[in-house]
Amino acid sequence: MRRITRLAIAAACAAATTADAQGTRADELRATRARLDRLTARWRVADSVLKAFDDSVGRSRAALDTVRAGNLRILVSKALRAEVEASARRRAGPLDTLLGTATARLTRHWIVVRQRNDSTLDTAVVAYVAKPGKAYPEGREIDVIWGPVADTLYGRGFRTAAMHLVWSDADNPVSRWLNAELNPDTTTAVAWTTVRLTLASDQTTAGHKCWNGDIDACKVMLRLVPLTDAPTQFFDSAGRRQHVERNTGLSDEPHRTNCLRGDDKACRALMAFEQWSVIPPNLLSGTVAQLAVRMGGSTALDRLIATQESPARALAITAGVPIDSVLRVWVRNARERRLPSEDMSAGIAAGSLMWILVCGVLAMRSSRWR
Amino acid sequence: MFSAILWSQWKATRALVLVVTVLVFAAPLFSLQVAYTAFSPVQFVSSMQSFGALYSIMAAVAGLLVALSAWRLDHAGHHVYALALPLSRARYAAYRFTAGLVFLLPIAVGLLIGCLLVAISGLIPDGLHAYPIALTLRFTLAALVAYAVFFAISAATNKTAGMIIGVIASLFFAQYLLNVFAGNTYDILEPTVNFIFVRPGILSVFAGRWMLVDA
Repeated sequence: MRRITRLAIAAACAAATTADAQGTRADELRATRARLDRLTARWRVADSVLKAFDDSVGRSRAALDTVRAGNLRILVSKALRAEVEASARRRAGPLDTLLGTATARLTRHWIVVRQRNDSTLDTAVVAYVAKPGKAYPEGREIDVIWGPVADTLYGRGFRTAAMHLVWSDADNPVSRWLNAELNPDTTTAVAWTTVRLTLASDQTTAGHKCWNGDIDACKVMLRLVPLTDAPTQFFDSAGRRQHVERNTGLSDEPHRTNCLRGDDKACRALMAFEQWSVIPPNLLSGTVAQLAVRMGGSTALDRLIATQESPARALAITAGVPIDSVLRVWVRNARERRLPSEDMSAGIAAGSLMWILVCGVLAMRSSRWR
Repeated sequence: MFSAILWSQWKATRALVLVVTVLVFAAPLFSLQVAYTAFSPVQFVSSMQSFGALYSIMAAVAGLLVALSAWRLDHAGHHVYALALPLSRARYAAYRFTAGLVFLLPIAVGLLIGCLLVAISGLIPDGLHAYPIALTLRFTLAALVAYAVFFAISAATNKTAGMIIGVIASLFFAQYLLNVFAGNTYDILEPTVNFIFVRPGILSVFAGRWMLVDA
């Protein structure tokens, strides 16, 4: 009994000493709760505005006509229906060719063509309905293109929207590796020129090796292998020293001095510490993916979107050949595909000769001696 | 008769032709010397591109100088020599015109040699390509166009030359009036410039990129 009394007294003393502290905590709790209440109220207002917007979008969609052409599903303002339908029918075939079997994915999505009311001109906007999410249960309309009503506007709009929608189904390692939307069209000579200049100008050893056809180096450049030790994966020892020499920003002075004297350990230590300056940006992955899709035929894009494999494996699956073969073609194209010289063309020659002739004839017919 | 006109015109033109030939021969080599310091192919191309305007200006100057020297002696002698010849005006002008065309050839050859030296120098970065023949053809055509235009103007009467200058001045004046009275709503200069410099405009050969080395 005595023991219990002692414990009670000790507890009372402890409670008395912490009373002040508890009072402060209670104040803090009250302030936090009040802040939470205020934020909740603001969230409710924002949510109701959003729901009202989504509701209005949903209702306005109900007022639109529906057009189906091939795999395209289009909601269109009544006034534009006839021309949009005709345009969509013309575009459905080329889209099938561009996207292959992946065009079937379009049947799960909506493209919207609306008349614009905010202009005195006869204008329209082409949009697509993005995937419904938690925040936007109806799906948000994302504008693709707007301008004066014309067949070319619809054509460009359908193509861009279709590519967005098809690629939006891709949620896999390769889409994260690309870090951008894939354009499945054939790579242009301009894009190959960019690849060539990027590779030829790259200051890493891996870049030079890749340019010279070393496929393993290309895999490093394109991040198709995990980057475990960037300084040694991107550079050889001479390259590391050159890199440190060029980048005066690498400023850990003892390491820098030792590196420049030929101590490769110091170079590696310095570069490992400053990884951001070592790894060049991965700007070329899009062209590899485009090439893989073109190599893989009509079902390639579908395979690329569906696969959950690593980027290297995904590209091989897409192209239907080993990744090394894809990269060999990629390097060859980068080296060989080029734009024709703009210096001379038949048009320039014909135009110039015509004007020389015209001026010559005018000179002969001058009235100076008459 | 043509050989006599060719010879007399050559004597009046050769100094100019020689100077211009040396300049155009040196231009590609100079551009290489400047671009060679670039640390990447992209910078090399960009450096070479900056010399594009130089080629077009040299083509225009070459055409202008050869055209003016073609008529210089006739203008100085008030065309008495030409009138004394048993030749029609058209035939005489055709001989002069053709002789001037011939004198542009050494200039083109000078440029071609300069460009070829750059192409075979081994100093062009891997991944880039040289276009010596395309550039020389473009230069030659541009020089010929400039020559033909200035030859025609020079062959015309003072009245015609005055009319051409008058038309150009009128355009600028009309644009000025439009700006004053109608604000910046109307632009007649831009379509005119486009008409002249966009293909198949008379000076379109001068517009666009002139690249000795490109990606």
